[in-house]
Amino acid sequence: MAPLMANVVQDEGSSSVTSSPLKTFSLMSLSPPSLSPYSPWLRELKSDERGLCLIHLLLNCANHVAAGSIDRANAFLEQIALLAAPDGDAMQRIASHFTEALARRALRLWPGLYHALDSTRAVVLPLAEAAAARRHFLDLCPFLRLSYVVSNQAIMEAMEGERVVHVVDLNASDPTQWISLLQGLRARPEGPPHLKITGVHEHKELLNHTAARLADEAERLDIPFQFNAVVSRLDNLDVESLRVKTGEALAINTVLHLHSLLASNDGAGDPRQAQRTAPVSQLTLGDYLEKDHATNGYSPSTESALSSPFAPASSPARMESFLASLWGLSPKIMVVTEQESNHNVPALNERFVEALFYYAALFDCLDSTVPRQSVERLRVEKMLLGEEIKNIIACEGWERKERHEKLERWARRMDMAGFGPLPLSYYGLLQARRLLQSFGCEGYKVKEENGCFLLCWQDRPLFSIAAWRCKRYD
Amino acid sequence: MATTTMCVADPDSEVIALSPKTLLATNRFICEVCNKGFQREQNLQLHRRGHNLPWKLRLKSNKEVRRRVYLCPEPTCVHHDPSRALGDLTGIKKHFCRKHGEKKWKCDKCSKRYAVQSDLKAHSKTCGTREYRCDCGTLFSRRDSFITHRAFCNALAQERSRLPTAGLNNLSSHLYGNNTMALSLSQVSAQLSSFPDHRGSGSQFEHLVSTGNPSPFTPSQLPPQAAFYPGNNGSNQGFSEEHQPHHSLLQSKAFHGLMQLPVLQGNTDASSSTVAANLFNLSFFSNTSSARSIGDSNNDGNQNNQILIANEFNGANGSSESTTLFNGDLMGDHVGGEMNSLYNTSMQNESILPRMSATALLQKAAQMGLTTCGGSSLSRGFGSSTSGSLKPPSLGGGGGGNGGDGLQAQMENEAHLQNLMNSLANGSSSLFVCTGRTIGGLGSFAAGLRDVDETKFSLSSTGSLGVSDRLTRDFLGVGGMARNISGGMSRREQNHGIGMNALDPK
Repeated sequence: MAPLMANVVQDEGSSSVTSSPLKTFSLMSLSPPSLSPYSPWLRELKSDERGLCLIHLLLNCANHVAAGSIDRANAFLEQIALLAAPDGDAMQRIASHFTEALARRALRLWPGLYHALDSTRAVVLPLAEAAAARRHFLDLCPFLRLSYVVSNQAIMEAMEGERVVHVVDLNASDPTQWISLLQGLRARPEGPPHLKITGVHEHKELLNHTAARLADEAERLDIPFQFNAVVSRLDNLDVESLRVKTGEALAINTVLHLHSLLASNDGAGDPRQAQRTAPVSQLTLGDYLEKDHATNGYSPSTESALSSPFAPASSPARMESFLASLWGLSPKIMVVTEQESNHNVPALNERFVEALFYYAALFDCLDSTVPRQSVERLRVEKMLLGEEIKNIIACEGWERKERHEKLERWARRMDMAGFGPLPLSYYGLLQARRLLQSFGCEGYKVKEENGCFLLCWQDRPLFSIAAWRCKRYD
Repeated sequence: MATTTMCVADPDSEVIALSPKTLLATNRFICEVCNKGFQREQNLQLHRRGHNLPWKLRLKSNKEVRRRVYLCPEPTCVHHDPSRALGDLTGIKKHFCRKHGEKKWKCDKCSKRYAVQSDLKAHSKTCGTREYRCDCGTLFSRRDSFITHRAFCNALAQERSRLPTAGLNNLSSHLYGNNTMALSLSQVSAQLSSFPDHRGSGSQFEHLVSTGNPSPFTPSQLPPQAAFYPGNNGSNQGFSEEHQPHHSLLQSKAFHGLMQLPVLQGNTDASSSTVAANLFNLSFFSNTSSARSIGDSNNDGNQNNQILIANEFNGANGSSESTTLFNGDLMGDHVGGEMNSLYNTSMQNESILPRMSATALLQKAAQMGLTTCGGSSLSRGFGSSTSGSLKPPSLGGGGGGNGGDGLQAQMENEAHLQNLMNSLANGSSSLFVCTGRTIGGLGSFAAGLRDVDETKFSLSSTGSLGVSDRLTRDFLGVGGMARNISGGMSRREQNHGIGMNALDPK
């Protein structure tokens, strides 16, 4: 074996570089050859081959970062840098964002460096930029709009006949959804209700902007309206501040935000230790449990009983208490839109692969529907998706907020918290599909499953929308 | 039919369990003289007068009659239980016939069958009187079910998708049509007044999306809304012509709103690229089972082709070694020329074919068994992105490689070499086609299936093999098995792969 390897390695001189570019990365899992940026074969690479190269390099790099062998990871990062580009094709963009995440992850081994780099970045990520990126995402892809349409439809159906409607938005940075709800309520045959919207958000400025827009719209439509701004993070939200009156018809809405409550102190600290403390055997145990649940339905007691410090807790205390306090408000409906992917596994490798597939679909979606040079697309990729990727890969513990989970797990969690499923209506599906048709791009689909909707790109579900009602005295 | 809850409502009711024969009997009262049957005793008595037989009309008894409830004799039926007994004799008879009886009555005009004659009579009154026919051929007698169906009809959707820009015009004009013609909607006056204003048109669009129907949840409201769906092409055209100026008005102005039409330029870009993508992706999606079967058989051929070509090279170079190591090396050194030509041809093909999406690349990579020597393999993500329960995509190597247990890193690398060489070198055209199948297969699997069994792809390199064996059946039709450390091809398996091809020429 060894002689052959040496043979092959030898051949990686300049003479055979031109013959087969693929050979060069055949053995790269151990020690990548040092390619100069001027290697002629680089230019010869077609996008597909380059894409496959990138995937191979990314996986290897992730592996080394997870194992803590930073030198090797560094070598791979260098290679990837030659091929990746944030303004290239989908795979190149994905690679550039994932490598940034991996680099940050690798830097965790030197906590000083890691936090130094982060210190000016984390807290003060310009609000305007992030908000702009989200707006671009709203414009470029139909997902958010679909969520709004479906959620509003569900809320209106639940609130049929109510004179006073109270809506709580757990992440009220975008007034679009509520403008549309106002318009929908105006058209009710029995006339619009008195609408109260309580918006929760971390930053006061965004809330004020939302409040102003909504007040204008309500004024224009002549709907009695009230906006309650609650400046708070979700994880220390006091439900009393929501000012829900007893017996009020309450709707709770959360779009791509509830998962942040799943952040907990797991795996924080020394990343090397974190990886080692999620050993293979325990993962298979966890997997086995998952499988058990998948086949036997949910048995919440088993899950929580077996949640060791290392195995993934199904519902960290914070989420449980939050849901319990929401349950205490007796909402008529709670609509949850979440990313449909499992980015909350403790093991970095698994998370990496899951995230790779998920964001590949999202980047593909953008690649297919938006021109390459679009600045908006670049912003979405960098400031929205890129930040999510960085959080998923490079952060741990409380910092890791992007804890996406699949609908199945959300369903179990909601059930344990005393919420029963409220199937989304046929008409909601109709409206969603109509919106897609007028959006005009092929490839998007809305699928219905067990009363929940899945928003798909090319048949890969990317977002889930589900509604829940408060189970009482069942 | 009234159902009595025995335990609570009327515990004194008399529960009567009649036999099926009795329930089905049409004429229970038989004249002893001429054997004519009657449904009611009164009628029999009156008939007996004609035979000069003694007759007596039984008067309704004055004393209070106990309420009678009837049970269905069919043991599996809900109404077999006394607590769910039905209160009406005629009701229980009809129930028994409908649910547990033979459908003897047939409608002349259509193919519907009924067990109870009165049901057939009721049906005949409406059969064929009003008919709505969808383009897909389904007939409806009810207007509302017809309209709901049309919104979801696949046939219609396909038609619309075939004409993207035209569809867009029509749809947007439909929505406009909805708007202007929805006179029954209460908000129409407000909308009409704001129509010329371009901001108004924007919010109108928003409005349209969210309030297409005044009361979205009552089916009775649906018809006026849905009436503006394309009844026929003629009316379509009418709409689009009428509203063309509005449409362009909409498109030319940028606005924030729930329903933003994408910029025309972007739109055409999208449609052109996605149309191309459609060739490879969506066409597989729409025909799930057929694509899968086609895909399987073709993939066999492709895979075999890859291996065959490898063999040819080996043979051409006079190397009788069939180990992966030498194969790889030979291909690298001597076969460079041939491979380059292969590359060239495949490149030519590629220039015609659209670029592979990132998702497709990932699938291809997982197929090729691209793994790292730490165990994190694409199989996991691959499985996650599709469904786990049915046949997950194969992770077999390009040559139908079989992963062995406990391969050493070197073997892995050689396997990588082999697989990458085989797959990539032996024609990117097949690469693309394979992926096309992959996507198609994925589409059929992923459609409607979203729960991922992460367990099937655990990190353990040894423990999970049993599980993944069962699950990672090769959906491409090549007998490859996927493991997390997949791709390792031992000499034995390489031979197997080649031997397989020798036996199975395609």
